[in-house]
Amino acid sequence: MLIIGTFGIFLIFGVYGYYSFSISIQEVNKLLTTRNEGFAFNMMQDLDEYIDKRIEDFRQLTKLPIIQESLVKSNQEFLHRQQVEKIMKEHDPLTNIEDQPFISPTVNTELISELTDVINFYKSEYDYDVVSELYITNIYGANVAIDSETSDYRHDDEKWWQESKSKGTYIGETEYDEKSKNYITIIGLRIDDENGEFLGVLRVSLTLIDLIHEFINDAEILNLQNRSILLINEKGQTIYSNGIQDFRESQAVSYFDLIQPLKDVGTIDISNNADEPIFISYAKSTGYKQFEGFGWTSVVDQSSSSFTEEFVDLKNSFLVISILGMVSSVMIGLVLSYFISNPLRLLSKMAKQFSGGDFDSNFKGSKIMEINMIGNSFNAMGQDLKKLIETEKKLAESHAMMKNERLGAIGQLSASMAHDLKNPLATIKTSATIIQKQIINADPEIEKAMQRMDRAIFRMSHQIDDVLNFVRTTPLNLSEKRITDIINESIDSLEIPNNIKLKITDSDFIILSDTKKLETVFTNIILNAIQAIGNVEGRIDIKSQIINDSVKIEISDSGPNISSEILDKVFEPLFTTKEKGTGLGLSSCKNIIEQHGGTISAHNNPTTFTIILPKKTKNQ
Amino acid sequence: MDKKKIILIVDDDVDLLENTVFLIKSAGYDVVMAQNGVEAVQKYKETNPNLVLMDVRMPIMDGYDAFFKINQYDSNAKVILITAYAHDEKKHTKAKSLNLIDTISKPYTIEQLENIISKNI
Repeated sequence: MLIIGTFGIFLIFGVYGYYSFSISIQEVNKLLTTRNEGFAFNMMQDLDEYIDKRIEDFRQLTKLPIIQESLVKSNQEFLHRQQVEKIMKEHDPLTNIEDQPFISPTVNTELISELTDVINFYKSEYDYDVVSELYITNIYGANVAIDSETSDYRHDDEKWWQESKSKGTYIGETEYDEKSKNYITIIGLRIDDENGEFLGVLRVSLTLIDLIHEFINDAEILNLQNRSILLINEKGQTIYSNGIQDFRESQAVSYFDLIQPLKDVGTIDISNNADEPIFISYAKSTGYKQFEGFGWTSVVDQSSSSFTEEFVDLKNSFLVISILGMVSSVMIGLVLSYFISNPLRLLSKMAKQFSGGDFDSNFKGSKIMEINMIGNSFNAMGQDLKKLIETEKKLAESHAMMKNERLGAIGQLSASMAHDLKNPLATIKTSATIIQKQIINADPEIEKAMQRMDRAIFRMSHQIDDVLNFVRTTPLNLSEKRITDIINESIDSLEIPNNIKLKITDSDFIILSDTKKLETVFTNIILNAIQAIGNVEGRIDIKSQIINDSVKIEISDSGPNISSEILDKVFEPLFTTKEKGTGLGLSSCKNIIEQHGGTISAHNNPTTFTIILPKKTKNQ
Repeated sequence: MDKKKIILIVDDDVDLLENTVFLIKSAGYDVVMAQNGVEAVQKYKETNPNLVLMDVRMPIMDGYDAFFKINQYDSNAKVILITAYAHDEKKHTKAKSLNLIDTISKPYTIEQLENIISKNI
């Protein structure tokens, strides 16, 4: 019981602890991912805002008077030149002027120095190349000013140019530029005069390092050992992860397909192990003001915070403690059962044996001192009880001996006297028999006298037997015999007068008893019955039957009842109502029946002596 | 002609012994007498009787001890002991285990004697 109880407590403790820690971990994870989503969203916002600001910076540049003026001038010159070329073409159609590079007159040196100043300003301001290339074309797509390299063919058929002209802004994809060995993004901005008249297009190639400048700042702050910040492009390729990546040939991140269909901000767990989650918190670009965004996604990749790790550790140690508890409770239980329960069981068994009268069992030593003390007390108690019982037994035996020698010295004397009387009595009896045999056809008076002598001899002999039976209680000499045979032998030793009818209801069964002693009992009772009936007509019924495990023998006679005040006393020694009796007959009967483990009782109507004996066989 | 059966009768009470002998003789048996255990054993060896009728309480050697001796000499000896009630329980049990035929108590009638003799001879 103890084992199961302790085991149960640890089980509940373990389950409860594990469960509550799991919930706590879930909560912490939720908190963590919410925070990470916030980081991702803010970074994406910062990025988009920064790009928008850059675009706005260059839009301001288009409003510079020097640019405006240069373009107006260039456009006029170009219009004029176009007309000339048209005339030339008409005259000499073979001349392919369009393929010819534009010549220097359209390029404004003053403007060039201005633009170079801008680039250098950024470079000094940010300590890296912000602008990779910057140039301005007129309405014909021809370069008006170029920062460094010569790019002097017309751009009016290129996508960026046309989109800038029609929409006002062109934002290209971030691509690797072989010339600058850098990722760049081309921004095209339409240049209008004060009246909104189209003057030309400004094209600036922004470097990636500048574009995601703000993002990098954020990422460097947020990067931790178990938390990394990523920026992935619209194809899922990693642009930034602990520095700008060369992503031209790279694969999309593994979870890109997972987050693609999800809403703008969210978190997914890409770990298979619930205890070590890897949270991908992301925010998709939604643009900022005019800037629509690149379709990029910022990602906060956190395996699990140190906090949750501790929680998981705690949870696991909780589990370990619980399991250890359960195991140790079983172990302790076994140990307890070995060192305590078993000795206790032995002690209780000993107590049971003691109560059963067996004081010989001995408590073997236990490893636990207290148990040993109890065990030793038990051993001592066993010995003491044994002594006590033995003393009691001796006392009882001496009592029994005294009872056996009931009448002490007088008993001895009477027994010896009774016995000594038997020999002369036997001589008288045999002599009487011899005389009877010798006298043939004798005087009837002599015949009667001889019969009286016989009766006197029988009475004397019976009374001697009464005394001997009472004084000496000898051990039972058990044998198996039919009860009816025992009764019949008793009757044979008696002379049943002719006025008495004897009826034996024969139940044919065998009992284990001291046959001679039982014969004495039946003889005594039947003789009493004969004497009670006297000279009148009468009958004696002897019935024997088996009731459960007992033999019931009833001897009833038609004689007068025993008066109620003496009914209780008939079995007392020396009690007699007969002048000829010793008062020992029924008392001896009671002794004999009790020696057999039975009972004897007397009732009236009709006068009945009921003997109940346990039915035993030799095997019992 | 059949030889008469011999019965050894042992009792220290001479009057009773002579009475008993007379009764048994008149019942048609040859009788040998002895007055104590030692004599009984001696007589048994001499006559090899068919049956022994012996009192228990006797001087010199009691009936039980005499029976043990006779039994030692002839394990098929047929012995009936006449008990006067107060007999030695241990010896009685031992005697029963050694093929003691029967016991009879005093005072016996001639019918009892004739019965027990005819039953065992």
